[in-house]
Amino acid sequence: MEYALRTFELTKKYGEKLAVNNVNMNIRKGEVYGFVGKNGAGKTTLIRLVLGLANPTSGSFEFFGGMDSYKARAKIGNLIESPAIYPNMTGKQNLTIFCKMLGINEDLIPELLNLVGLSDVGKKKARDYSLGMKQRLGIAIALIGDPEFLILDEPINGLDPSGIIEVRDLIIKLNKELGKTVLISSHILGELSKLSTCYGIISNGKLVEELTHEELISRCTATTVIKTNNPEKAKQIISNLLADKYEKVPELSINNNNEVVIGSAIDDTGSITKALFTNDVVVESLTTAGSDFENYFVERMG
Amino acid sequence: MQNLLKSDFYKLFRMKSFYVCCIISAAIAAIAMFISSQLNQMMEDISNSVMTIENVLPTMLSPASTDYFILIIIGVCLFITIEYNAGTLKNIAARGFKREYIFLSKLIVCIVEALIITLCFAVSCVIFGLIFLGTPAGGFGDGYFAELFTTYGVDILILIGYVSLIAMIAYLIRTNGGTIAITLCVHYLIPIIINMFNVLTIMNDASDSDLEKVVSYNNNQYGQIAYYWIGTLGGTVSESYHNGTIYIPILVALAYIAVSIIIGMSVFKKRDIK
Repeated sequence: MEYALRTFELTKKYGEKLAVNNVNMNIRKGEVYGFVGKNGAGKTTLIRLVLGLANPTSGSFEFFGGMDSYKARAKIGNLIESPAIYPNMTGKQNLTIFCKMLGINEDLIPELLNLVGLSDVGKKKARDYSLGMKQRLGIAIALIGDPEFLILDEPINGLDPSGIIEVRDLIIKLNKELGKTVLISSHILGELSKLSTCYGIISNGKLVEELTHEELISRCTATTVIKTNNPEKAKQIISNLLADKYEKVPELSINNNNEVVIGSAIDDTGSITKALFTNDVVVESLTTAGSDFENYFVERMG
Repeated sequence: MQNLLKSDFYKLFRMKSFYVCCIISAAIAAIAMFISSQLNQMMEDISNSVMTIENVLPTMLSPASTDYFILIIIGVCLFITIEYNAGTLKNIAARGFKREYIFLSKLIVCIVEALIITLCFAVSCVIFGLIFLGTPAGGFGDGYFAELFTTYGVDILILIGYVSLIAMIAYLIRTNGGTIAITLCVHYLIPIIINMFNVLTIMNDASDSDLEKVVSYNNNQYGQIAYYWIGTLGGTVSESYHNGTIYIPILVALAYIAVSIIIGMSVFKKRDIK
């Protein structure tokens, strides 16, 4: 298994406060790693540690299987918190600075500006850009040098809905077509779940869980809960009904509240209530329960 | 390092403040030369004392002892602190550049910036000096240019030492306003404090008569400390040249460069970049 980034017991203390607490993070090459956590949970601090902007109190990390950190960072594009740009310069001049810094041909600048939707801003200074435009320019800067690994901290902050879709499509394209590994932190959980292939959930500086998108789906599967006057009979009737309808019958059980629980969301609940009614079972309530992605994250973020 | 320098020079030559500082420094020199010529005319009327470009140039060209130095302070402070204000320093550090190289690249560009501003002032001084004061009737004296270029060379070294000190302060303070305020205090306040201690020392010296005290003060306003404080060092260069101790300001300037780089770099390396 090849990793773009691994951290080992990484810790950062500010005074008595543990901003990052013994974090062991594993980001495999080719993944889009959604980094989830509340404000102040330690997401940005961890990103700053691995990018060399802050010194860890203890622990270590490695890029690309142990490559020298300085060399590795040359292959990493980043956007940390608010986009860092020179306000008195145009978008093109901002990109020129980074092209010169990285020793890269400046001919790619028009292509980059086009990619992030800033090709028609002309000589407008970056200070006059909207927040969304600044964010796009920040992403363009991160993409200079064709980095293998992108670290994007809140990249969709300030973007309008169409901008969010564009950035999402861009990240998916970079990942799927160009094979780039992406670490993306965001508090817009719904958005994150649309593009991430795995997740890390951080709470109070601790990485509480790492899971793949498939694992997330299985853990967030909804259930249908039916309260009746005769749960045993209801369970039998529903079992027969579902056996007729589904190739793989969802799991059925009776919970502590004497409710019948179907282990998935049923779209045709009308046929269930009709079957129960015709068999003299009174349906007192029927609800679809279970957590969606957002609830799942929120519960773990504390 | 080479790429860092390229991008830092690109930034410098895109900064309006840099061009404004160059223009103002040239204008200050022109106006100063005009004032000198007017004073010269008045002095010719009341005495035989004549101010020529020959005796004006050495004083005017000393960077740390002239008014345009404030432009260098502003230029250098702005160039370094803009990276902190805009948050762009994290973009550089996160791309795998060693902090030592980032520090040195910015320092080199700041030194070049200070030298260009100084050059604008010097060129303007010479041009407008020749226009307003004309060439000396008997030509420049023997050894005039040897002394001028030697002392000016040492002045430039002192300027580099001062720029290193300002750069160090900028890396310590990290904000625009704070850095400029503290540097101005260092530039203006410390010489006054040194002057005050010198006056107190002279006044308390019971062995001298009052006249001797005044003569002593006029001869050396800043006392011995002037030879070791970068802000007053420029005023000692000519005297050191004639005393054969020109190595003292050279060594002191080099010490300021080395100490400022060591302190500035180690602080920059240890601190988190926000």
